[in-house]
Amino acid sequence: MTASKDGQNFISFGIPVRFESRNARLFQKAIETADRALIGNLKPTRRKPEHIFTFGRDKERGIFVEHNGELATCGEIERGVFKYFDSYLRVRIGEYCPNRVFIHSGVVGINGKALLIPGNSFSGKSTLVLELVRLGAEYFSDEFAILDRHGNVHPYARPINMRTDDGKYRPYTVDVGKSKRSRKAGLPVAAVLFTKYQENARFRPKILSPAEGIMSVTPFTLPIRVNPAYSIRVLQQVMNSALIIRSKRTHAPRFAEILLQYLNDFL
Amino acid sequence: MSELQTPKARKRGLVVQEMPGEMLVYDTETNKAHCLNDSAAFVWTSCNGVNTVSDIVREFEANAKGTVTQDFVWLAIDQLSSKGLLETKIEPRFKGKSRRDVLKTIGLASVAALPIIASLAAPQSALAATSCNCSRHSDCPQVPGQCSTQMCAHTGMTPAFTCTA
Repeated sequence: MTASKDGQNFISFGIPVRFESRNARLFQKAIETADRALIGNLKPTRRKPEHIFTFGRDKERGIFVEHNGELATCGEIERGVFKYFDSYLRVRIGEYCPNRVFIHSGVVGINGKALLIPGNSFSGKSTLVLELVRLGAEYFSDEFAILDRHGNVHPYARPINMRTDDGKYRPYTVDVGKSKRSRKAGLPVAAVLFTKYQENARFRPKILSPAEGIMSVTPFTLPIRVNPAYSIRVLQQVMNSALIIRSKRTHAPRFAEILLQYLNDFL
Repeated sequence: MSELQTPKARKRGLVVQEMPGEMLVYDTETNKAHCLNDSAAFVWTSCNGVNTVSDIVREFEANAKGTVTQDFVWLAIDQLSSKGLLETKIEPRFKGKSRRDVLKTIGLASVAALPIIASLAAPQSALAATSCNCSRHSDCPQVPGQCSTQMCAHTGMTPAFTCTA
């Protein structure tokens, strides 16, 4: 472990990072935030850091976070700055992870196989994932599908944050897949669903080709710019063996039931 | 470009993945993904800097992909050129004609699937697709006081962050 009074080196998903601060409280907060953001995948290391995050406070910027010497975010509200850092760190790790492909996607396991629901934040994937879990699916993630080089998906299970009617967020803690296979080897992807909510929309699945699937998932693939060759190779493995469908969807509870019936033959 | 010129497919800076009936090409210089259907992919791989358009027509037919005209191959070359998938840019063959007219003419004279290239750009930053999930206006570190716009974009910073407060 490389530690000093100012910082400490960690490794997460194969990426060596360093957190630095002269402010002990901010330093501690940074490590806690990072550990939560990366679902505990933050281990001390001696490796030379590739990404250095510096935390501090000054009169001009308030609390600030720098990434490799460039300002990542700043503000007077500590909670807000660290919320931003939480998202920023996850995305940067996802972009630079050397042997995993992170996709913005909800993921559930059904009968030992995975269903991916790619989508940006606020596209309703958390709602749909939660409904599928309520109907018996295994919770993997409402945020990232983490694919290994074989195209198997690994869990990234944080509490699901759902927006309530008053606009606030309420965390739901959902058990992650417990089987040994889902934790160690990951699950093979059997289906990928691209969907958007539309009131009273009927489920009319259009089956996409593997190339259409890769094109459709590209905007949600974090390392596509950093490591396109590896990303596309992994995506091809997924798309070649998965059922890829696109359909509008109605309210999540009803849609989840219809979807599970439809996928019954594939999962 | 004259009939005797020999278009050459660009190789540099591209990630190519062949798939059944399609070809996926990712351009690392423009960060765009292109999906070539079988016809477009065949023409692209035939653009070796030696083949003329007539040669490509012959190769296309010899590979049992159907009877096509030179305009069919030109349609593919026009698209390949405009997407930056050829070594040198080529003057559009069908300049001034509507796409509908071009497709109608070529489609009637060919018995192969028309060459089609679908493209999309990878997002500028993956951060644009995520959110800070602020539950209060005061939580937003980007532009305090502007959260009600639902879109907090901080000038000078990479991500345009969505704030739901």
